[in-house]
Amino acid sequence: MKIIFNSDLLFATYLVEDRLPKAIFEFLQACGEKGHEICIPETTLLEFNRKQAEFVEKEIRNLRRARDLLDKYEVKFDDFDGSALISDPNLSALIQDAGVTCTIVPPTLEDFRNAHRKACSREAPHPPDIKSDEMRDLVIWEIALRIAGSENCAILMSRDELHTHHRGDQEASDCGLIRCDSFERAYELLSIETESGRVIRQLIATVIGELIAGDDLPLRDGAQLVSIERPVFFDTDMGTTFVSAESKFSTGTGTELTATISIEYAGTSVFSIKFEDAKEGDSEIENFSRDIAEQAVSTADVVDRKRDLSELIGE
Amino acid sequence: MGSHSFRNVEIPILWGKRAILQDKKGRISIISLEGEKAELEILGNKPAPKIEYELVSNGFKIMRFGKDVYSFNPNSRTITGLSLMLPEIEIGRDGIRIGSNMLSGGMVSGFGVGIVVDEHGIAMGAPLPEGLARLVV
Repeated sequence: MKIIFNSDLLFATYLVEDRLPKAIFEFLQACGEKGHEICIPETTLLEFNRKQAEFVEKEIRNLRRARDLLDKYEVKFDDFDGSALISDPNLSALIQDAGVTCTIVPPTLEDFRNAHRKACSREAPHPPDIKSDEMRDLVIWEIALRIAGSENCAILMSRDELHTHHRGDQEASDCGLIRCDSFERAYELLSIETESGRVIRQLIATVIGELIAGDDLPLRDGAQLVSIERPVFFDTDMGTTFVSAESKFSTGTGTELTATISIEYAGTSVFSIKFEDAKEGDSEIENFSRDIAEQAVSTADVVDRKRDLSELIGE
Repeated sequence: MGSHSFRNVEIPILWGKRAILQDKKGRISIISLEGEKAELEILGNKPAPKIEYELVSNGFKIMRFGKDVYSFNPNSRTITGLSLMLPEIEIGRDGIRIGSNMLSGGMVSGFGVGIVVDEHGIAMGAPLPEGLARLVV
């Protein structure tokens, strides 16, 4: 699968010297291990370079100031050329360092023409309430559509409103372009386990036997969790955590069960589990809820953290 | 905090519209002052109760209305903007890194805010900006 990047998900707030920020690097590494390819529209590259050039200039200024200070105090040192010591990062090389293939994709004349037309006539995917006609984003959009169309499917990594707005749904769908606004959603799409997925899988493993033993869900021996998507966690004042996610199970009978699951837990202890909007194939399954164990948690940690913060702000 | 001394300062670090504080045990809390009411998002290195989040490698990311706002790594005490395009902050033992700037050993006294960080840069010692919600737990 080809994965196209907008600059907002390659954003770094400092001079990238030898390695991209950790979250980006880890994602690229995972993509490389699964044989996916990275495409960087030239527009993204130029935006990345512009931002990095500001950091390079700042570093050179800092070196000049340091030299002036040393001169002022007559400290002897070997002369140096600051601009020769600091080089602009090479985005393509930095991406390839993560073990993944990277291609820089220049826009075609057709990409420019389409972007120009859409900007001027405010055609989709342009959100109706945005004032700026952002040509750069439209050029990236056109490149992404072109790549997805030629590959039958591709992923556009972007948080930009123009790229994620529902007005682009039809065009994206026609070309097979999938839009992802975070690394976690992309991990899910590429079937790469996320940290949240790993935790939920561990929790399900502790209760799957009980779910199989009951008659309420169509889960039989050999049933297992296949995928977890869009997990959302929140903690309670009682010291427990709730997590909900879209899940898919193989039922052990050759069918698949999909459901929104909600689990209340603490550590590795599951207290309750719910299955809602569940379907086995096309058949709807009644909502299911089960208390697994008595809650045996302590509120001491939450109370302690709150007390220390209250003391700090003088409440 | 990060080898900096903040005296008579209401908010040690204001990151966009979020107050970053450190308790006596060295744990980081983050309070959003965006709305009419202050909202605790991170309480002592962990997500605050009732705040939606997702686990990521080495920490968690805070979500608001289904959008990723920022991530926090409690081990390195690093706050990284996601939909917030703000410089990354790392509160280390020897200093506070803001983007590519390292601040260490300084003292701020008698200001509403110790260090202000926004999209345009960093300022040391500033009055509390107008329109911020009052800091409460």
